[in-house]
Amino acid sequence: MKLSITAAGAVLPPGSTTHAALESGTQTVSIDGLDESGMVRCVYPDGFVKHHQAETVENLATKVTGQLRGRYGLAEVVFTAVPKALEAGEAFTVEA
Amino acid sequence: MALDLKVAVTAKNAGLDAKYTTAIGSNGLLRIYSGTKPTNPDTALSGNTVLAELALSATFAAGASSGVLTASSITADSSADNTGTATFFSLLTSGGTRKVDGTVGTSGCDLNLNTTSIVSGAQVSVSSLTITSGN
Repeated sequence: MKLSITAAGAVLPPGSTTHAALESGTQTVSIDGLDESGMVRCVYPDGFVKHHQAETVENLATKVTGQLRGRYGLAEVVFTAVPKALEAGEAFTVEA
Repeated sequence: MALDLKVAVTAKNAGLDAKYTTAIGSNGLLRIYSGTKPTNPDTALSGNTVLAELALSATFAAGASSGVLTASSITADSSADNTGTATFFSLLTSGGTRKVDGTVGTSGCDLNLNTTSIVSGAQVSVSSLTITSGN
């Protein structure tokens, strides 16, 4: 059987997103391990899961910051704690 | 006599459901990459960068109908992780195993976007995705 995929989408500039709600106060973005392709599985405060291609905590912090800004609309992201390593159980904490 | 294989619609539907919905499993992913597209999903990535990751619905698609499988809603990536030129995408299991690879472009590709230039922080959405079984 010959198969074909037809898909369409859009790329919009940064800041185009309708933000998801995020409660104020201390929030945690936890590392839930690595997936089979080596990407870091992160669980955001509302349970949202996103994998990030990162090799260092610093690199991951950049991507988590982008996600907190883009998805939740945080204007300023200041981490009060960061993971010691890219390992399951480690977490970022941030004041929302 | 020339080759002329034809498949019943019910078989096409069953094939689509098994090949895609079952193979991807629950809470699958759609990732958009830069770099050279691997030969097939069984070939490891090589130096590719993940530009964006979108979440598929808990169940990838309702049952195929008339030989067409239509993906349920796909959650946009509200902040792309990296800047680059999108060249291909994959449908993956929730654990990150690639099951389908397809090309990305602005026309004539498997996934057509308004631009293949993705910048870090951009919103990337896929509004429709269908898989059609021919013959």
